Amino acid sequence: MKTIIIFLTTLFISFSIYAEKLTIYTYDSFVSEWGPGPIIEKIFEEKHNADIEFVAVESAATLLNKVILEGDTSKADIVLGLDMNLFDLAEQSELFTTHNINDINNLINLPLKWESNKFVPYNYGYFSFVYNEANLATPPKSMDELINSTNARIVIQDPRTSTPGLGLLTWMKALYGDKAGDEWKKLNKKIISVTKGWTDAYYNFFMAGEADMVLSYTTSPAAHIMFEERYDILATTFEEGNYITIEFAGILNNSQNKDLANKFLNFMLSKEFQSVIPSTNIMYPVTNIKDLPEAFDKLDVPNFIQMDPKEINKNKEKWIDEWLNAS
Amino acid sequence: MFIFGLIILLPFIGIFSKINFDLDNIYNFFQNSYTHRLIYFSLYQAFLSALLSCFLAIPFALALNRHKNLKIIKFIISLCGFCFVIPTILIVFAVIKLFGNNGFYNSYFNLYENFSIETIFGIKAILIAHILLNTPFATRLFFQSLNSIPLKYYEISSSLNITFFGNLLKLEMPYIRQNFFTVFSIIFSLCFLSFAIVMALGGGPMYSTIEVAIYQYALFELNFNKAILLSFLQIFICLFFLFIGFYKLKGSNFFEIDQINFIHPHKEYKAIKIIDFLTIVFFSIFLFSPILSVIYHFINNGIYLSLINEKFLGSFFNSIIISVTTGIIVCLSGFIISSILVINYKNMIFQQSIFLISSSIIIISPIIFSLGYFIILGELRYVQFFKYFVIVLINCLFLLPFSILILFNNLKNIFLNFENFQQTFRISIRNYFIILLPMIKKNIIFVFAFSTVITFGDFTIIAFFKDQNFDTLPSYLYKLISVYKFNEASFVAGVILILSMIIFLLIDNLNYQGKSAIKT
Repeated sequence: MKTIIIFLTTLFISFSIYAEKLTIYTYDSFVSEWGPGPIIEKIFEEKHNADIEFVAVESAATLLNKVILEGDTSKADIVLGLDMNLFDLAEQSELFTTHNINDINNLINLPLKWESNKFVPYNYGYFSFVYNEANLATPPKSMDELINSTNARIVIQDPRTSTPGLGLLTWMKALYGDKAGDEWKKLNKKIISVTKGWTDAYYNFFMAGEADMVLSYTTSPAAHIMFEERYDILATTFEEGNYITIEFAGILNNSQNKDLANKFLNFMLSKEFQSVIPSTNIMYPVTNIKDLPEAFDKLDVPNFIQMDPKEINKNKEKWIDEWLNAS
Repeated sequence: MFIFGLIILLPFIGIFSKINFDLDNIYNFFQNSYTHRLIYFSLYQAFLSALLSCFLAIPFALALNRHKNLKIIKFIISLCGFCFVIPTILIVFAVIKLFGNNGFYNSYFNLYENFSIETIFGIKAILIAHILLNTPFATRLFFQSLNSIPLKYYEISSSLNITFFGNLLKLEMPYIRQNFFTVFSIIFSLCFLSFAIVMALGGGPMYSTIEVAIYQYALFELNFNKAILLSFLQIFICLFFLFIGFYKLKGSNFFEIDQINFIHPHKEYKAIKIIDFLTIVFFSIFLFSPILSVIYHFINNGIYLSLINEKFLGSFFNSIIISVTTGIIVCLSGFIISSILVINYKNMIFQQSIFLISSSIIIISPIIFSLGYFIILGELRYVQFFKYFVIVLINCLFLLPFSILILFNNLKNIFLNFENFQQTFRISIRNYFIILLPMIKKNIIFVFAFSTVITFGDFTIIAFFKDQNFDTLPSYLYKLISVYKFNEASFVAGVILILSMIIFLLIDNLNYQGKSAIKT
């Protein structure tokens, strides 16, 4: 009898401490030691007695490729880090299932209305060209000026592998339409390298002094103010407007842990998660939090440009060809 | 035979299953100016790389030839051979460390400002890397040509009192010219199919080649159609090379250098002595700077024992498992196929067809095979076992022709020499091979070492099958370089260099050992 009791007790204890595992695919900077990953992982695991496993890919645009390629064998429960330029492709892929959050637009505060019952946004920002004041005395005030009169060595990311890269592709298309190819030809003369991901372009080229301008976000200077008290790194806001990027997450159809996954999506909109975002992912939170870091006050908020996700998905390949042809 | 055919055909079934025969699409693709650019740039960079490598190698080989009695020259020639097996990813690492913005040359000689260079990435970096990789290779081959000049010719020229330049133009240059086109062609083909260097140092789509574009279309855009069209284009171009004799000499005799003891008629002239000394020192420092740089960084900031982490160990064991398994399989299958060929040596058609099939693999680049298997495996490619299996399989396919080349010739000679004994003593074929085996043991070890070291340094095949949980040492090194973790990278690069050097020296010494042809 005693043995049975001991056995049952052990069994009970082991069940109660058994943590459910949640596998999240995301991009590398999200889970880096200074990114939001480690902090939110700790909070969520304690709160829900769960075990989060982050699987990071080199750049965000390859995230979706990865789950498409993996298909049914994918280990992921959640994909976190897709952005609006991949929205329609993700929506059409039938890889994702609906979430259980009702009236999502009442919970969040985005510059535009959120229309999806599969995906939940967690932060947003605006693409921008970031520069060092010391190296570039007269920054461009518009895309036109950047293309035609600014004299700078620029580094951008490949639109096939990186979210900002794809962002610039749609930004150019939104501004120049059919003439985008010609404008790319002019811009390409100033581009010294096209990197695979953001980290490479920002740290290896721009911060290492190999380039004067880098394609990044309007919020990037906040990181330098917060962590280094450097005020010389600035971002351009253009007269035509800057392209908006909204990052979101979704649950995969194949997930064996849909309940826990839904808990995570709800958690993304909580104050605990949202207040970590500005100081770690250096983006704007999607909910109204009051204590935005001071550094964010120093940033200009541009007008936003956004193209129809369906249009992007339909023409992406053609636009990439146009960009390749102009290189 | 059937299995062998199936292994080669399987990736093509995969490729054809995904191709979309829409003539409009195909037409548009070949009309696309980016496609033209890819073809143009692939050929252009290969041409320039081959030309520069060959021209740089000539004075170096001439200087080495004049002083080949010196022990140090033998060592330099041996190192020149190392480039044939050095993992290209190490060259990438060294080019960034030497020529990058924060590299050695810019820090000490202000390279960028003096020559108003904006960035090294692009054609400059590609050319530098290809020159560093191929000039030693060309030097070794040219040296071999010069070395084959009969001693008598020198004696005659010496007795006729022919001048230094006369000697150079009438005796030495013709020997170099004889092989120039072959050497140029080999380097051209190697650069045309260069992957890791263009991928890491190209700096974007402006400087991309067909080989890299196939990979990018498949993995970046999931556009298998374009990748496949480019693959066919590449096979077509390689077939064209084959047609005009580009692959004639690929790899053969490369490791066999017989040292002849001689005194060059002009080596004692003071001016020539000084110029030769400077040439040899300059070229040695320049060409071996990648090796020096890797070793320097390994010693300086690479030896962090704390870096032997899970990721490193995982990649290390993957590399060892993959390369050693490949080595063993290549030896075994090479031996079996060579034996079948030798036994059927009277059946010419059979023999020639096996030769043809096995060597036809060389015109298809590993990237195309990887693409085919990548498609056909589907979701199985994420299962660890299949990953090992396919990577080993593709590596084996490319090394097999080479192993047959080495083993067949030697096995045939031994087999024919002792065939009478076999008949006299009525030894069964099985027992006969057991007797023959020790005789070609040395060749088998050579094939094993060579296959292992080539597989160990492979970056192309692994590029398709790596992911965040599965790396080999070269792909791990690439990952570290691309996130600028140079301390860790120094360590990994050092480990790769040391391991491949040990195996290489084994190869080179095996070839010098016990050879009656060596005259000392």
